[in-house]
Amino acid sequence: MTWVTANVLVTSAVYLVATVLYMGYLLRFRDHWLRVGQSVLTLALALHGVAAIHIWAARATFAAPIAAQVAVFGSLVAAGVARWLAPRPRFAVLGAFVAPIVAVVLFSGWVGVHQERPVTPQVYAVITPVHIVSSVFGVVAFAVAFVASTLFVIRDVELRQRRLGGLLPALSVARLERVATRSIAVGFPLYTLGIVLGGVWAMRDGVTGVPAQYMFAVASWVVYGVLLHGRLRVGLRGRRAALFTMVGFAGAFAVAVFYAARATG
Amino acid sequence: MSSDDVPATLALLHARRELSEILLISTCNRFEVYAVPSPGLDLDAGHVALRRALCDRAGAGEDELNAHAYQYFGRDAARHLFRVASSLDSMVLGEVQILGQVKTAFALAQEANCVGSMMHRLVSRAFRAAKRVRTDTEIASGGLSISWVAVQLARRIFEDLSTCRVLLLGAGEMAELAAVHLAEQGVRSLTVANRTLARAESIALPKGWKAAPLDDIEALLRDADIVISSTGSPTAVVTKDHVKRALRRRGYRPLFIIDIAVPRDVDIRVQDMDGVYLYNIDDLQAVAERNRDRRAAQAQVAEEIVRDEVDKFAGWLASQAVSPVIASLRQRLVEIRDAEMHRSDKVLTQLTPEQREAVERMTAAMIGKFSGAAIGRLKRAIGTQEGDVLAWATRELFGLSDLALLSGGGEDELSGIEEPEQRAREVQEVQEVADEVDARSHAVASAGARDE
Repeated sequence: MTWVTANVLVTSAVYLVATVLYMGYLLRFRDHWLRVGQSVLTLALALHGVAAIHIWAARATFAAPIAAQVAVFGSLVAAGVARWLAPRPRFAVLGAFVAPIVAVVLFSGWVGVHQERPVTPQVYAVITPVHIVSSVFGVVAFAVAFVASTLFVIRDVELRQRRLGGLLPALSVARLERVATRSIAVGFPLYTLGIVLGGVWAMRDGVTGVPAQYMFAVASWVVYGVLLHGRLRVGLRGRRAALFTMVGFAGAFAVAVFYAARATG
Repeated sequence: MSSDDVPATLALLHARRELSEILLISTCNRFEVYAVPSPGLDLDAGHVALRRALCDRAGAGEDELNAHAYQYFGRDAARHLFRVASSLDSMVLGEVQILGQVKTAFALAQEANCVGSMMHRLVSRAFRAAKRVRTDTEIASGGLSISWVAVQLARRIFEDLSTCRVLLLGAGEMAELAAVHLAEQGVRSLTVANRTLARAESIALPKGWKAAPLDDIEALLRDADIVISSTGSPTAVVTKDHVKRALRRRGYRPLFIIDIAVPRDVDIRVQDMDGVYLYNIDDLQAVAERNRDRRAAQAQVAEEIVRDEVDKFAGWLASQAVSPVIASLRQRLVEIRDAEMHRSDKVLTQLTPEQREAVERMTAAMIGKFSGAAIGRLKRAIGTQEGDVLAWATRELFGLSDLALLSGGGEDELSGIEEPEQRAREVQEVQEVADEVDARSHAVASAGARDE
């Protein structure tokens, strides 16, 4: 293993550590988790930069495919932007959504450079159940958010039509909003773990392209990422947030149905 | 009449020898006396005595009493009490306080020893009717006041009212009432904002609320969750821009605004904003009105329940003319048997214990067979004119004394009717009795309610 290979692996791992810290913040809303996460993101960014410089310097000998180079340098730019915006309150948790994607892209870019098969059967055996469990629990949490958002819309319509309505009084819009936000905050880290491990799992035969269902899963992950960011930092609330949640769940649910259908033949 | 005066009044009424059982219900808008005449007296005698006692108590004349009083007798009186307890006779249909007031009245009557078997049965049936009305209908669902509607809407918007901060814009009386109602729900804080700070303080400080000048609407909206607006401003005090900026500053938490003012204080376009729930007085009244309509529809079902319970009570009431006669007849026959056994004591002592036991069994069986047919006939005639005639004839033929009739035998007889194995038959009998009582009340109009 060359030191560049080691650097890429370590950098990807540090990005994942930053992801975990960000997710911890999303779950607990403790500021020190956020500060440490941002520091770790800075460290990962520095390692990423070193790896990128080395790859650039040795481009004559590596002859890396252009797609792989775009992956490495593009992810570096994305991580840099996230870190640059981190001090601004509205973008403080942007790293939570960028770090895991950068980790996967950098890792797959490195695979592209070396044309290797990084996922051994042993690793594959470990990550598969974790990938499935985290994805399923993530979708379940999103389902709770979906139900809460649906009830929110019903309650909101009732209130705007000047009706006390048939829903239980305890199902207030504030409570339903809180349940939806918390469910997404819990489901998002799990779903993220599922996405990251799914990306690694997809490389078991080398990087031969991205499966359509994986792209669909990433799309719904992005929706939830934007939604969570909006709910936590931009003040996205009310009907728009509820409808957005319902749309996001449609994507996550479609992915779950696809895998379930494939598993049952 | 205050609740402190009720025991003395009960004692005063109960002191009249014409009245044996009394129930006195006294509320803010109701003063009712339910009375049972003493044994041997008819309703007229009890009625006259009750009126006289009430006039004496109030220091008023008969004419004055007539101008204000309403009177019911027998079945109608029971029906009225059942309707009162079920809140069908209340100013606010379906209100819940009246049942508690009837229970309190009953407890006071019991403490004053004014409750006998008749009143106990009457009030128990009234409670049962009220309970059925509450559980089988939705007559008590949905409040009818503006304040109630405001609180219910707030509960559907916020998770916990104890965390909500209430802001009163202006110093209108209705807004203040709504705020008081919210304060009773335990809201976190109340602030009165007025153009004149002194006016705001005059309202807020005595109630332990905060006062603020009405100069920075956005800051006030930022710190409030529930806004009740009732200023006298001819133009909108709260604009869409105010709310938009305030929402941003408050992190887009929901905002509940009640605009009671005429003309409106709040820009109507605010109601389309996400996270803002704007209501005016007409909206709240419309919700209350829908609840009122729903209650009125449920009242018809409740009246059926009351009618059913009145029928059951009327059946029991009708049985009271015959039941004591049955008990007295049995008692009389047993006395005759005991006397004859005593007279033949010298002869009977010569018998062996087995022979003596056989004689006792035989005489008891003779009494049972002799009286069984008559008692069965009397029971079947309960509640009919024929029953009254048979009861009278039985008393005359067997020389049953009034004292024996009033000794409580009727209660035993009643208990017998309420035995589980007889309950199904009793229900059928009561239904027949009720129908017959109804038929009589329509057929003999001149008899009026008193004859029932």
